[in-house]
Amino acid sequence: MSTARLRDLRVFPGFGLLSVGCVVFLYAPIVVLAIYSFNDGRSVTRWAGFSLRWYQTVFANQNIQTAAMNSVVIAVIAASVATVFALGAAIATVNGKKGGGEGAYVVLTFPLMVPEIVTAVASLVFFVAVGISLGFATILIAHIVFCIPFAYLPIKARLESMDATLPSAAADLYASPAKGFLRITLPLLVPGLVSGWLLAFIISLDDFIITALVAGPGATTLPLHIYGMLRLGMTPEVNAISTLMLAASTVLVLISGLLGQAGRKH
Amino acid sequence: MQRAIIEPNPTPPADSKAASPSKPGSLLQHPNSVAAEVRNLRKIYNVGSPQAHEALKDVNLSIRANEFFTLLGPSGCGKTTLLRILGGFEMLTSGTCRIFGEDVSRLPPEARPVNTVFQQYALFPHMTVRRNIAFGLEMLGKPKAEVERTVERMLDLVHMREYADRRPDTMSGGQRQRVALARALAPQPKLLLLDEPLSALDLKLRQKMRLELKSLQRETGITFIFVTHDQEEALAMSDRVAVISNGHLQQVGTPEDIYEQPQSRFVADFIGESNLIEAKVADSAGSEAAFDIEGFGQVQAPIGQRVEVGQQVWLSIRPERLVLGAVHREGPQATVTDRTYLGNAVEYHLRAGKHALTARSPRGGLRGRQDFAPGDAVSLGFEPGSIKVLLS
Amino acid sequence: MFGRSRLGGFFAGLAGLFLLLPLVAVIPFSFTPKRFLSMPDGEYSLRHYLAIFDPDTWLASIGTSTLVAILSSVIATALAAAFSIGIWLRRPASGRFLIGLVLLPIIVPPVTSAVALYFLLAQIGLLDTIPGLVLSHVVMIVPFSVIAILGALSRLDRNLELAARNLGASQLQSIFRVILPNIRFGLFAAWFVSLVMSWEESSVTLFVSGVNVITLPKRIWDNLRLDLDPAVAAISVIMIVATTLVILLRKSET
Ligand SMILES: Nc1ncnc2c1ncn2[C@@H]1O[C@H](COP(=O)(O)OP(=O)(O)O)[C@@H](O)[C@H]1O
Ligand SMILES: [Mg+2]
Repeated sequence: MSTARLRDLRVFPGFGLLSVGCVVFLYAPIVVLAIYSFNDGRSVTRWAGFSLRWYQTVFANQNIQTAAMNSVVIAVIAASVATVFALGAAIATVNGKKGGGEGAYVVLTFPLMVPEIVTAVASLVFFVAVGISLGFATILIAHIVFCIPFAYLPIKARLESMDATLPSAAADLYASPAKGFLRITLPLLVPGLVSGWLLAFIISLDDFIITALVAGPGATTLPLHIYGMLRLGMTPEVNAISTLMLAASTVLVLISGLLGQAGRKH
Repeated sequence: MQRAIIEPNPTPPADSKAASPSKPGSLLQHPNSVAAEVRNLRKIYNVGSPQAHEALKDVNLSIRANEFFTLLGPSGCGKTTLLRILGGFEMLTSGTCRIFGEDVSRLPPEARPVNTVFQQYALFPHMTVRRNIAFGLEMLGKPKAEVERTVERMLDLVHMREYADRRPDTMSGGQRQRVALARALAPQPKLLLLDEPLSALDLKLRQKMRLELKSLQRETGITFIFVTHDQEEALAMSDRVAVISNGHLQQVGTPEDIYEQPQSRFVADFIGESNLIEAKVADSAGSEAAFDIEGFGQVQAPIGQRVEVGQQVWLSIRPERLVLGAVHREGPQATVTDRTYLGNAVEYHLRAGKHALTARSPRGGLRGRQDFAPGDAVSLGFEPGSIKVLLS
Repeated sequence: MFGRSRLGGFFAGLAGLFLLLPLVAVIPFSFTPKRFLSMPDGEYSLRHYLAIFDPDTWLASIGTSTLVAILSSVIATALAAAFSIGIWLRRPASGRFLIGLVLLPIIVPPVTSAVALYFLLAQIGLLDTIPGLVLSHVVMIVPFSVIAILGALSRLDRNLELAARNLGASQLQSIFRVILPNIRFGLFAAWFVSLVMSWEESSVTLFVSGVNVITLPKRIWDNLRLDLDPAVAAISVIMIVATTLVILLRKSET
């Protein structure tokens, strides 16, 4: 094979450009958004120098604070409760692999396949039918429920990769089922629990569609608040708060990734 | 000196519900007491479903205290199942299972005075060697000082002191195996179950561990129930061996019994090598009988049980006890089809009528014994008592 | 064996119940004979299923969603294929970094994506247009298509491409006649995932369109918020049934 042919194989300008173009295409909207959040002027199109004033406005805004607080509280509770359910469900489905495991798996992941707007409609109709008035409580219940599948998948994966004779070994060494679970199974599941919880937390924190439909008049979350701000017009404040949400998500995913890596080394 | 490392009289775990009828220290006084006993044991997996599978079929077995007892059989014959039933990890379908006299059929694993060395060791990956060994003692609620003392003794016993603060995933297979052993011995069980503990090790280490396990068993006086599919391992280590095939208990006996006096074709074939030849009883008188072998002639052999003239039996002859000679001698003859040099022996493959036979001669054609080449006709001689008569 | 307690089974059952209950609860509502969303009392009607066939509202939105989904999925798959094949062929030192960079937008919160795309489309004058919506969906979908296609490429034997080149094929010929045919299942998977994602996309769609261009999720949203139209329940039931069918179909394949 001649060198000319080898070079030809490696250097083909079209595809390199396409690959880079692809990346630029994906990031352009977000990068522009983030840059203009640091704009000193009121305009969201004309650059007037660097400033953090919009971040200061965001942090000083009482409504944003309330909405953010609501979001975090809901996400913490929803992720925690969903993780408990997911843990129980994972143990049950991995245990009974031969029996209803397959069916349980389909049921637990079905909501991931249904369009989000349909889940939102169904949740709203359900709350109305049962007679729960819309508000903070309905948001919380809806979040707990749609977080379960997200918390379930990492926990199930972790449990499946675990040596199934370890609980037997604990029982053999005189541990009661409860003690064996607390001393052996649970510690080994920690990485799965943490990634499940974090995933559920992010999903809850970011959710807009379901939240908006089941929120009712009073309650609000950060995504709902941003939507409301946007309807009043694009301001650099919206840029700043959106950028902050992106930063929060990125940090959480990074933590989850690092923990996952540490867990694998273990 | 090592004798002091484990007390020779294992006491039962303090809060174990399975209180033994024999008092602590009585084991050595009654060496013939029964450590474990199963009666009419059956195990069917997935009872009532289309995939129902009978893994153990009416097994009766009695294992004596202080014995090194081995369950031997090919893969899938039900050895692990039997061991798991003894350990409490699997429910029996019918029958009873007693440990030191107590019916444990319904007891969970944590209530049995039994510990297990698992096939893949099942060491707790998030704990150091020390914590692994201490686990059983802690679960029994032993005082801290006693736990620590015992763990130190165990570390010495299995020569793992240097590794005490390492985690299992940083260790070799042999080291993990020692830790698993120490962990299972630390609570001083009355019965130790070992599921193919040597199969993950390489040959050299395996042979070394055979001796170590055997002497450990003698020192501790704990009854070992050892599972293996390796007949050489079973013969080398055991006081008694139970041969299992396809869920059936085939034969129980000392290694010598099993090797020299096989009672079925399966045992004769599975333990060592055997020539198995179909034959018919031609004549029977007292403890001897004559057998007709088609296309071969007649042979005499001692019999242990009554046989009828005309009855179909199998004759088993070990290759090393089949003696080849020049054809001028009387009696059965064969033709050499192949000769294989094995270093310490020469193996001949023979054809006699429709029968294919194997003979092994320790020094081949060297020193005195005659050597043969493919195509040679030979006469077959049998050492006295070398032919075993098998009815099944 | 992870514990002998029934607690796990209890939680699994409860979780399944919570997850499925709302989806099942919607079904009776879709058969109400009334003009507003309510539980039918004894009388059932199919009128809201028939309402979906109104060409000016529901059918128009289904058409718009289908058009957007087809355009977005084809473009996203083509872009993802070009990107993935480019990486696969050239194996640049920065390959892993580039792949990470393309997959990273998956973690962008939907609301941030919505604001960013709103901002971008407003500047280039494509707000509330089909091209604008397609552009937004493509941005949202490309990372997922890349995952599917990279998966297919990782199972492809590199020697195939070398052999094709050795036999005198140009790079383009080898791509179209050797590589693409060999990853056709991956391409199909990527396209199908993209199609479904675009078809059901709502968080970004609600921000960047809604007056001139009304997709199906947007119409569901509007009709639910504005006048509790029971047709919303009917279309939801249809989508739930469709999802179930797809899952059953995939199960029976494996
Ligand atoms: N949990 C189980 N469910 C169904 N069948 C099993 C199970 N465990 C073992 N078996 C079957 O029972 C038979 C005996 O298995 P086992 O006791 O593990 O054999 P061994 O240890 O002698 O290799 C095998 O045919 C095996 O397939
Ligand atoms: Mg086994």
